[in-house]
Amino acid sequence: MTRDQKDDDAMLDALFARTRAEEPAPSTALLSAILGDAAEVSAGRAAVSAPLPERAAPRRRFGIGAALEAIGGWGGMTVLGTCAAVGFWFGTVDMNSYGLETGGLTQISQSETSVDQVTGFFDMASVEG
Amino acid sequence: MDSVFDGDDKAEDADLLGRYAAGDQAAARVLTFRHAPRVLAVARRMLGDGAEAEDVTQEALLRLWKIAPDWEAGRAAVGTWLYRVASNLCIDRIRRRREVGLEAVAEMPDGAPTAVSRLEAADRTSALDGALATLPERQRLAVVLRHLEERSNPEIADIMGISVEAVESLLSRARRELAARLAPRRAELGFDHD
Repeated sequence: MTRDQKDDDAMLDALFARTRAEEPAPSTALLSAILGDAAEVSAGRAAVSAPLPERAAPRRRFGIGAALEAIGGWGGMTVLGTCAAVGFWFGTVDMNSYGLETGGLTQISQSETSVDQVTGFFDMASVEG
Repeated sequence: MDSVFDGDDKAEDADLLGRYAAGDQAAARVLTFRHAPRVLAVARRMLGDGAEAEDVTQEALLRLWKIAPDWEAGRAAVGTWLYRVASNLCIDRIRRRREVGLEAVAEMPDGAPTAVSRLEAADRTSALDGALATLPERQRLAVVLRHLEERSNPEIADIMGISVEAVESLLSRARRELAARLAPRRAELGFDHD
């Protein structure tokens, strides 16, 4: 090896040593990003491997049992039956024979009072128009 | 400098990676602080770009996190594996740059003006970086691993997937090339003859 080659090697080795000594450390942002990736990958693995929740008792979709369940069982069936019976009675009975007012509303007779109420409304509309 | 490839460290790294795979984030923190600086250093010297080097470093560690459950402890050292991944990522980027005309010409004819001559005279590290940037990527990688990361030739052979003889050949050619580029600037770099 010539003297020049030895000098060249010494120069290179010195440059390498200085470069090694001056190597900057990773930034906080980079380290945070790397650790964030680690956490995300772990979380993804945990989600994939998590045990499935216990299955609820299978619902009966068909048949009388399912229908009963839908209306709240035998109690619900009782209420429903009562309502049906009342409704049937309303439909067949002559209300006038009982002097009953249906739905809280009085039967409106063809009286001047009611007509005035109607024309009064249109008068207001005319004034506003 | 203590080698992260020592037997104890290799076993410890494998253990840490196993603990991370089981959900221990503190193990990931130890591995990050131990290996990220070295990966970043290689990437910086290979790419000459801090932002790209950080991208490569983050990608290399991300691949480690993903492979953790499948890691075979006796197969490779974590450090070796990371160097290999980072090296391949860097070489891929360099080749992509060359394809779009962004990378410096790898082989420059003798006497041609080089990027080194445009650097600040007193900045020795920049002078070396500039000279490294003109090397073909495999010579560059061999020099970075040997002289900046201080890996042994067998370790470099393992990282690069080549024989020890091939490593020695790459290093020999690279040093000659670097000396040829930097020797003309010996005086301004403060390496006067005696």
